Amino acid sequence: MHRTADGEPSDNELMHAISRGDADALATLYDRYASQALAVGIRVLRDRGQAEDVVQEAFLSAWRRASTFDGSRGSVGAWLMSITRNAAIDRQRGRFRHQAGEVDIEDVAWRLSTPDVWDAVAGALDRDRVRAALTELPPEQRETLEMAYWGGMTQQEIATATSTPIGTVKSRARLGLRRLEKVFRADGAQSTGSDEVPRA
Amino acid sequence: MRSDDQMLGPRTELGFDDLRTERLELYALDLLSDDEAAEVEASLASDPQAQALVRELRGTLATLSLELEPVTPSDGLRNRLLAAVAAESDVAAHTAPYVPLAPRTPSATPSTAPVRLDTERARRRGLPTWSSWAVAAALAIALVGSMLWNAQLRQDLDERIATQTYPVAGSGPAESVSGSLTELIGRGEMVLVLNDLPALEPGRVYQVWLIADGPPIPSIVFSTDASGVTRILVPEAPEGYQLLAITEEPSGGSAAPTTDPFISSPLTN
Repeated sequence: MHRTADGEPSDNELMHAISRGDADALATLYDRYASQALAVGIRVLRDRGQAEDVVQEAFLSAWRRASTFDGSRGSVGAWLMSITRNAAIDRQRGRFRHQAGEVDIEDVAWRLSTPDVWDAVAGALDRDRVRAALTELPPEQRETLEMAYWGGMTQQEIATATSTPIGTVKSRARLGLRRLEKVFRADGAQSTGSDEVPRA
Repeated sequence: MRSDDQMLGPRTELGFDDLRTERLELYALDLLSDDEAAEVEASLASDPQAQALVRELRGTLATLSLELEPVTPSDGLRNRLLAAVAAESDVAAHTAPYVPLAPRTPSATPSTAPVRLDTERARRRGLPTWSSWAVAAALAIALVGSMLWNAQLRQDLDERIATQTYPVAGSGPAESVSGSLTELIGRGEMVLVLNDLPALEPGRVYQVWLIADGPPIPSIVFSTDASGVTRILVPEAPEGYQLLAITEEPSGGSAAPTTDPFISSPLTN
């Protein structure tokens, strides 16, 4: 990772500084991603107050675990969005499998380690393109993906809610995911390779 | 038009690799049951190829957040985050490694001062009675003579900066809570450390109140994680304040307490 095009520290540089106890670096990371993370929290919880709690937990987790973060294994943006989403889902469902945002960074790191598409997608795509990719999905695939990812619903819950056999739920979710992967990969491949993070 | 199932191929023709891929895709989507997910996780440990696929899929899912229009957080959120970080930094810098507070001894436990406010959280929704606050104050003052705090924490803090430490007492649903309130003299801050603080239901937060003779003055709002250990930085109470109390409030906090206090600490010795 190198510095972003505008000379600002890269996400990995910020994580390195945070690991040394640099609270200003955390503030910079927060300024960079908090708006997007809050959107994630609100998307799941439909409650701004709870979403802000979840965002705070996510950034505190970044602060506490920065020293164990290996930037070569994953992108910070994807990690922050993932732990925010996971914490929000857990809160929504009243469970603490992820310990309210305390997702083990090592666990997430291997899940998201390179190659993850965050940098490529974020660098190459704008928000409208992501939305367009979702719009291009067949409605039932998009609905299933959103119920799973944003709703945190189990396959049985989705099957019941949509009056659809579980097998079909699985197929729709997998197909939707594959299509997104294909679109994002294709767009990422056309990018210039910038690691500039999306600015909220 | 082909059905979804047809596009993925007839299930009867799925080979081992297809089934494995299906499981990994469903795992990445969090669609497996807990038992199924545990099986996949066990197999991932020795399967770098599977790890790579899951990583890739999770990364793709994370990009879905880019679809969402960013929402500007409140100024208070940034302040709360940085205050929490500062509190952790202070405690870590002065108490490395951090040693949990010793459990309270019987002598340090409020004899029975019934700062029992309502025990059932679900019922703690009505306005508090002022008698509850008076009892909380009495309990806190009674604790002054029997305060107990972690010796190492105090020693480490005292070696670096002037401090004054006060005991913290819980009651009702927070009866098992122990902790300390350490004033960092001259820095305008107090570090509140709480152990065994119960996690709250969604939509609820803890709120700190500072109390003199009149109504409680609202201070910071915070939550705790599954560890139950909370360290927060509280703005120093101005002269004249005698008690710090904590209540459970709706997310975002309240202008006046809506529940009875169940954790308190004196601000005077």
